[in-house]
Formats: sequence, structure tokens, C-alpha cells
Amino acid sequence: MNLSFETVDGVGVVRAHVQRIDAAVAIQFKDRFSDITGQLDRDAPGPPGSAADRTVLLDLTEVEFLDSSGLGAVVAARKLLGKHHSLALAGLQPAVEKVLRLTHMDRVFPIYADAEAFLSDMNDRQRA
Amino acid sequence: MTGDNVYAMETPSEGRAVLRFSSGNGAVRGILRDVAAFLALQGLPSDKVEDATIALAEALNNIEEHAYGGRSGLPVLVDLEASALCLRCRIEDRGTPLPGDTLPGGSLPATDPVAHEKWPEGGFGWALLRRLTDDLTYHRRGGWNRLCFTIS
Repeated sequence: MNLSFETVDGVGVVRAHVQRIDAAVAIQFKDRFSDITGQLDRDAPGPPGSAADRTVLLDLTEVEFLDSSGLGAVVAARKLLGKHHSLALAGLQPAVEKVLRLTHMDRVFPIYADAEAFLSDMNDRQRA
Repeated sequence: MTGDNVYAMETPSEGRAVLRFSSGNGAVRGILRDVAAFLALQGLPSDKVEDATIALAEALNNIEEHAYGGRSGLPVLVDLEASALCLRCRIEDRGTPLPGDTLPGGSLPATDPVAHEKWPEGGFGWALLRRLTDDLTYHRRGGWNRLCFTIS
């Protein structure tokens, strides 16, 4: 399961370099997500008003297909981040967007068109 | 063994495809890819092909995980009739019947945006199947589960 993690302008970005997050790889996705985000201090509350650097982005641009098991793994990943972080999603291809919409999980994850839109929003918040 | 060549696909007549595979051999990805190509070839619009692929993925995952409970080597049959307008799909397995011999409801697990620790990690499969398909039916007959649906 090829996931990468980098910090861009102080914001954590996870990129999924896979075409499918499905039943066959759901557990690997969750395990790998846990490994690469382990450097975040999950238990430390941030300073007041610092929502930007407490949000992690999961960039799904390369992911063409997500089934319900894959969606479960993304939810599990969000839980791994704990209460002091949140998980936003970006780069949803049509089939991925459809699964999120039909399960109403698009109502609970912040969703951005792409990583640039996310980082721009985070920059605005840091300045605000 | 995973991936290719772990299932048989026949096209006995125009617009029809019959696939047979055994549970637990990693056939599902290859099947979804070949079914998507087959449906596109029949002229089914791409958003319907997408619906069919998601619905079939959920149905086949349900069989492997629940009807067969992760056991390998058990038979699954997928019979498709497709045109540019419509797909009819029949899926059969010899696994455990659905509880009460009836289709689960399609209700979504409740989700409170604030309480992420309570967000559901499962229970989406039947909700997706019900929302993506028409005429979803289930019958138990002669030791076989039969799930049928239409996408149009």
C-alpha cells in the first residue's frame, strides 16, 4: 500500500498512490496510514484557533475506485488521528465521489477539489 | 493465486456474459475490470457502468465476507444481460442465507459530524446496493442464494 506523507506549509498531506482502495487492501491502507501519520502528536491539543495545522489532508487524486470496505478504512484512518486533528479529503474521482455521496459521508468529511484548494484554505485560516 | 485467470467468463450470446469463480482467490478485481469493459462495449453509458461496478463489488464482497464467511474455494456465478440502455444482473452463491431470508434494509448508519469516534466503519454495502440498483431482489432456493438487480 503506497501512501506518502509530507508537511506542506506546516500542514500534513497524505497521498494515496494506488488506483483502488477496496476490500483486498482496506486493512493495509489503515495500517500504513497509521504508520506514516505516527509522527503527528495525536494527543496534544493545539493552541487555540490553530485549526489549520491540526487538519490532515488525504489526497485521493490517484484513486479511481473506493468500495464500502475502502470507505470504512478511510473512516478508521480519521479515527486514528484522534480528537485534536481532523481529516479532509481532496481529489475525488467520480466513482469515489459517488460512494461518499450515496453513503452521506460527504457530509462529515471536509472535501476539497484538490490539494491546492485545501492548502489555500488552510493558509487563509492561519492568517485569519 | 490472485488477479488474472482465476475466473471463467463466457459470452454465450449477444449482450450476455456469464462469469464463474471460486471464493477467496482474489478474482473480484479482475472481474470488475472485465465486466466494466464488457458493459462499455454494449454501449451502456459510463455513469451506469460505474454504478454497476460499485454494485457488483458490494454484492461480491458480501458473498465472500458474509455468505461464505471468508472460506475459500466455493462457487459464485454472475450472469449479466446488457444493452446500451440497461443491465440485468443475477448473482448466485451456495453460502449462508441472508438473515431471515430477506434483503437487509438500505438504511445508512447514523453519523454525527462532531462525534467522529462514533462514525461507522461498515454497514454501507446494502445501502449502496439499494441506491445504485432498481428491482433488487433476493431468493433462497435449493441451497443457493440468488440476488438480482437492474441498472438502467
